[in-house]
Amino acid sequence: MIGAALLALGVAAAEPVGDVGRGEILAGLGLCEACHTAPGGAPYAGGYRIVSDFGDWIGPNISPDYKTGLGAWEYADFEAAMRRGRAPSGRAYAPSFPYPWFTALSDQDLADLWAFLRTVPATERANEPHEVPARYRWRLSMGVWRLLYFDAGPAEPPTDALERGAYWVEGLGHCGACHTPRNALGAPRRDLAFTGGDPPHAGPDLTAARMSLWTPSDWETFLRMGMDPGGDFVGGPMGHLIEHGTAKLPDEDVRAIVGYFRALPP
Amino acid sequence: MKRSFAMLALLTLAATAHTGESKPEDVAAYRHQAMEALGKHMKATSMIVKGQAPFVGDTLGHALALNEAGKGMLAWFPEGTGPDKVKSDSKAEVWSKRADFEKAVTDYTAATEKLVEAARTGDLAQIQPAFGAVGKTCGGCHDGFRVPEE
Repeated sequence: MIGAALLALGVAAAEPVGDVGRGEILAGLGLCEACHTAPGGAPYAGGYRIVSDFGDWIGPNISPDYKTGLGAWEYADFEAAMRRGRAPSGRAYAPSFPYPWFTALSDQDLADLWAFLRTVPATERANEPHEVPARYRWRLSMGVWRLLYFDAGPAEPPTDALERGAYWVEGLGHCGACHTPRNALGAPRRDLAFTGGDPPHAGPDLTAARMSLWTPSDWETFLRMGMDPGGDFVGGPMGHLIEHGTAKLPDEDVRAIVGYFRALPP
Repeated sequence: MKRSFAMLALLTLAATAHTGESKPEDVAAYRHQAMEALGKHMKATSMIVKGQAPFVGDTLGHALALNEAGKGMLAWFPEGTGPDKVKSDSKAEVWSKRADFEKAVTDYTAATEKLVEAARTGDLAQIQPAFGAVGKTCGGCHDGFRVPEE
C-alpha cells in the first residue's frame, strides 16, 4: 500500500502536472493544429500537406487515438519527440517537424501542451507516408542534419523581457520556420534571420527594413487581432496563430514578443 | 461624417449594379479600392475600440458602411475578372470554389450586421467583441481567396 503510494508520488514527480487551458493556448501559438489537420478534416487527426522542394511532408495524426494517433504515447514519448526530435522507435524525425525550435520549451510548458493534446477528440485516421525521395528519409542523412543544425535542450528560464520574447519567437512560435529563408539542406539561415521565408509558407520580412513604420502599438494590435496598420486582416497560418495563440497570451508575453522583433538588426 | 458613409454605401451599390458593362480590369481595380476603404473603416473603428479615438458615436457610420458593402460584395467578383484575366489579388478559388466564397461573404455580412446592432447601443463593451468577430471574417476570407500581401 505504502509502496504503491510512493510509486504514485514518484511518477507524479517525474511528470509535471499540465494545465489543459494553458496548453490549448500553447498549441495555438505553436500552430500544431495547422500542420496536423487536413483541410476541412478532424482537428489534430493529420493530413495537412507541406509541399516543399524536398517533397511532400504530411502532418501525422496527433489526436489521442490508440490505433492511428498518439493514444499509446506516454509523456516521455512526447518529451523525446519535442525536445530531441525522436520517435518512440528511436528514429529521428525530419525537420519538417519543427523540433529544433520546440526543444526550447520549458518542462512546464511541455507538460501543459501534452495535457491539452490528451483532451482533443481521438480520431481514427491512418497516416499517409511522406512523399519525399528516400534520401531525405535515411537515418544517416537525418543524423548528419542533426549534427549540423540541431542544438537540443530547453532554454534557460527568461530573466528579462527580451529573453522572454526570444523564448516564444525562437521556441514554440517557431517564427523562423516561415519568416527565415532556408539553405539547400532545409535549415534556416541564421545570417538572414526573419528576412522572409520560402514557399510554401513564405512569411514576409520582419526586420526593420520592412517594419520600420510599425509602432509597438501596431505590432500589438496585429498580434492581438490580426489587423495590420492599414486596417487589413491577415488570414492563413498567421491568422490561426493569432486567433488561437497570441490573442490569448498574457500582455507581458505579447509585449515581449514585440520587443524581440523590434530589437532585430535592420 | 455620417453622410459621407452613406454616400460610400450608395456609390458601392450604384457601381455594383453595372458591372456587366464595365471593363474587367476596372471592376478588379474598383473592388481593390473598395476593399481598401473597408480596411480604413476597420482601422478607424479599431482606434475607437482601443480607446485611442473618443468617437464612439462614429462606430455606427463605420459599421453601416461595412455592412452595406457586404450586401453588394459578391457582385464585385463577376466571372471574367479573375487573376487569369486581369491583374488581381483575388485567387482563382473565388470562382472555382464559389459556394465557399459566398459563405465567407455571408459570414462577413452577418458579422457586420451584429456590429451595426452593437454600434446602436453605443456601448464599447458590446462593440468590442462584435468588432473582433468582423475582423475574423475578414481574415477568414483572405485566407483562401486572396493572394497574401507582400
